[in-house]
Amino acid sequence: MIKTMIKKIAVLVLALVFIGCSEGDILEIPLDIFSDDELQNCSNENDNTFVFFVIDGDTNRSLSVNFTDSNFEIEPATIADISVDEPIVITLNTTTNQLLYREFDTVIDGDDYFCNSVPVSNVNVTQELISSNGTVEISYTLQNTTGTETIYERTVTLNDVTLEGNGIAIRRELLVLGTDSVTITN
Amino acid sequence: MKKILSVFIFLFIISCDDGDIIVTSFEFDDVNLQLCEGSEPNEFVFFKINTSVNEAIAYRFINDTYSQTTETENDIIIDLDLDTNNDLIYRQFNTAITADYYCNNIPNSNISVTDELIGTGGQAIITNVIVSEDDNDGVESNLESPDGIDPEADPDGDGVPNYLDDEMNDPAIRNENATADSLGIEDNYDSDGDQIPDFRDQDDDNDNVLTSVEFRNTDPNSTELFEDSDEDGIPNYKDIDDDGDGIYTINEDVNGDGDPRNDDTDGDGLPNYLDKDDDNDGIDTINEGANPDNNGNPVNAVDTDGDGFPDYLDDNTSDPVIGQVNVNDENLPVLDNTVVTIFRTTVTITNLILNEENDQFTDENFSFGFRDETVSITTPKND
Repeated sequence: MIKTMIKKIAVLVLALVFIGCSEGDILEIPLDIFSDDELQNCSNENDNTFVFFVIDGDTNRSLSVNFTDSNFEIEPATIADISVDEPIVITLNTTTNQLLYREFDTVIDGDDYFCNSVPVSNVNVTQELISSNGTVEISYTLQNTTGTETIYERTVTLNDVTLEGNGIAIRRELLVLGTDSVTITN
Repeated sequence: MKKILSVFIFLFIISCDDGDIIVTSFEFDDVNLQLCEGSEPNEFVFFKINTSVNEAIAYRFINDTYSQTTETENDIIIDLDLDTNNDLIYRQFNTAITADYYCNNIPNSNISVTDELIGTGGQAIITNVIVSEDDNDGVESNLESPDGIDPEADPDGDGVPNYLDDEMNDPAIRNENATADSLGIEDNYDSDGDQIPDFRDQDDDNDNVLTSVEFRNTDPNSTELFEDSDEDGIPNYKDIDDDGDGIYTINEDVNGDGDPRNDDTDGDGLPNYLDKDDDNDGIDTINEGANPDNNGNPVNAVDTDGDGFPDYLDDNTSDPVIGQVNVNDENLPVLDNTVVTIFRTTVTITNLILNEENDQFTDENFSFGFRDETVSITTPKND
């Protein structure tokens, strides 16, 4: 009787250990899965809030950085709005400026998911890591000038970030979120 | 044992039945209507949140004529249409939500929607009207009008408020005396005739001493509500010459800074506009030739000793200890007028059709109620 009891407990404990450890593979969060994905952005100009994000459609994950900055222009209108020499640096914090890594229970459409006044109802976050420290750097390099247009490449880089959550901490001294192209009509 | 098992099975079935929760009507009467501006140009979300039962209802629309602080000329009527982001969305949540659920660039990761109803047909009707304008001068609106009449009320329902209505109790007669140059404000509603009725005018007599400063009776022995320094029967806040010395209050602003309250030539503690004897020489200003042409303006005041100081500001004996030039003879600055205005937006949904067939849901109409936005609107005075 006692033996069977012990067996049962042992099975239970082992099962718990297995279940408990099955979360372990999350430790292998590969941030480089986003390297091929397109950098997208959106904003709410009423309160000067901006988001740059990349979405990995194969794994239902997103990496996004959101911030508030009253001077930032996400769609610069003139060359004067752009500084090639001095990148824009924004410090992350615990409230308005954050780097977020999220996993979802379904495929997400970034345009629908971010900056939607009424959030989509059928998407749930299954895992979230947040970095509240470090900085975002937004830099421009001149790519091409034609008679009518000036084209810049814009790079969003994260420095000294630590993504944390659920007992996981991933530290990166340098993480390139992605690049996009900014075209200004002369 | 079997009994316990069957109870468990029963519980299991109940707990797993998370099928449609039957909503028979939207109950949001007790909560405030809130508003946020979305990420699209001219996108707005009106919403109500019931935190006690984790539900919320929102109406999102894009419209370039709506503004919280502009009256709608006509009702804004918009068809509900999912494809154009004009939608009514009722939701239940796994947890309580706060106002930042809406118009947030990043959805909150802890909130999930447990049930949802969407309006797929119907019309939204949005109106925005001014419900109150006040000059914040401390005098109630109905004391700033004849016979205690509420100037903004409209007892005959003809759409014209009392202060403009030629016959306040006859719906057939409206603001007939309005012209291109005049709003047609009725008698005794605009003391200074500056086309700003007293209840909206921070300075009812346009003397540059605001009503808020000059209406209170500072005499503890007086039973009058309003101060009347010269006892001419016209209270100071409506009196263009508060001390009755012949020089209008606005012209007793000797240093010309737009504020008559800081001009006290003889230093007796009583500013000139309340002082019958501005230079304290024992001869009242009214007897010192301050205003020979009786127009309230001392521009041609008598200056007997020719020292540049008019007699009423020159005590002559101890010159130049007391003596001043009135630099405010010609160029009168007039203060701007600020009106505290309350705009009220009302949102109603009519002919509502929901995405899910629901026989129990009988309300065709849903009223969001109203939301007030208070702003101070400052306009320059032109007189």
